[in-house]
Amino acid sequence: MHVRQISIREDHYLTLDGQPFRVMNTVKLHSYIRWRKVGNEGVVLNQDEGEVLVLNELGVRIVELFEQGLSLDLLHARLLAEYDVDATVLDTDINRYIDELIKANVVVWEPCDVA
Amino acid sequence: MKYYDIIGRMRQDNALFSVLLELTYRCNLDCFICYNDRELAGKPLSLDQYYRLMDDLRDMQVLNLTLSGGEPLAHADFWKIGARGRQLGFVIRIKSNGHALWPDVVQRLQAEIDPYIIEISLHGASAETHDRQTRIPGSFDRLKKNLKNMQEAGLRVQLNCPLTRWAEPEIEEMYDFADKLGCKLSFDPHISPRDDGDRSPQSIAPTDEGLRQLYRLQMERGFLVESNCGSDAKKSPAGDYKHCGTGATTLTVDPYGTVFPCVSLRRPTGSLYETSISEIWHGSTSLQEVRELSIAAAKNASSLGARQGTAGFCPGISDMVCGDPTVVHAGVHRVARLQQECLDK
Repeated sequence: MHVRQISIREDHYLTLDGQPFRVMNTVKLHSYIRWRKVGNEGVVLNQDEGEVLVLNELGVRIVELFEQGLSLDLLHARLLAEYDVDATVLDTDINRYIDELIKANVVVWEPCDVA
Repeated sequence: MKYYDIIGRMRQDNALFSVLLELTYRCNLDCFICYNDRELAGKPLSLDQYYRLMDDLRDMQVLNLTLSGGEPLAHADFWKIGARGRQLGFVIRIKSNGHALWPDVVQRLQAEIDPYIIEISLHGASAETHDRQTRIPGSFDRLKKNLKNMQEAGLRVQLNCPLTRWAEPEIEEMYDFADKLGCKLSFDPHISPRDDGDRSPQSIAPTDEGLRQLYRLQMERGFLVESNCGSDAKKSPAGDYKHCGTGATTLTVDPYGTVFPCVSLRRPTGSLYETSISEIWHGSTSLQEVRELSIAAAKNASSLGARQGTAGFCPGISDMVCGDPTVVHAGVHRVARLQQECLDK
């Protein structure tokens, strides 16, 4: 059986050889990323490009959780518990933020598990 | 919020962000202008102490960790300390003379430490000038080879030149040298006394004509412009703006565990043999005094007018030169005057 590399988060449920399976995507920090929390914000250095990025409070929390290796689902659940916010709104915010982090070469999608 | 706003806020809030470790004062060169006090005696920090220190710094959210010396590679545990720094997620900078950075060493650096940047000292654009300062024949030719290797290996390198009257006839050639390598070249017009108070390095401080030449070239390259001035003190309505990060965002640790506000201001604020870095940062009364002095220094720096941001006023050097870090010493006024003359022309 050949399992192809999944790199898009929309493919949470896929079919392989006629059998449905679930891909639990996670997001990983690039190896060249260094960052620290400064108060409620974060300073990120992309060592490869020499670019500095400032994260807001939500960005810091997302990066912290991704650093712990949480999948997107677990991250969503954790943030929903931490913030008093509607699940759909949170999902939109998270997706938008992750897109920004991907564009800035801070994080990369990575399939972490197949269940 | 932008990065520079965050840096400014960290300085106001005394948030430690950058730490420089002087791992050893041993060196494979013998620079005439070296500021290290090589006669200083003490018990060097152990590897375990460095590990504990770095763990604490990580917990304190320090991002930048500079490994310096002397020549940092001359420390027996350089590789272990660097690798641990990488593991803990620091942005690692290495200040080296480049003499020992052979291709295999560079390869190992990338594999084990992955530094963000290596800052190399350059003392001229010819072997005659560079070697005169380092007092090691062949050091320039060796550095040239090593720099080429570093460039080919893809390492980010910055060249730093403490400008001396020996090197000043070669400023343009040094810029060409850096351009060919694709490196940034930074000049420091202020030669500081040694940390033990010996002022002999200042005997080869650059001349007025040398500095004029530097600023003419910097203007041509767009590094020195009228707009990079400004009074930082105006940024804080409360009037508590600090001149620089000394003791407010930075610390320096010497090989024997003594902690200083920065690499230039050699006022001890604690010892890692007696207390942790966190306790020093939050509880040292002498560090608090330094922060107050930095506010006073910022107010005095306004006397530099438009050249406040470029004249290179360093409270640490002022402390050495006149015993008061808040005083803008004559050397800074001289630099400011020469810069302004160039801009006016």
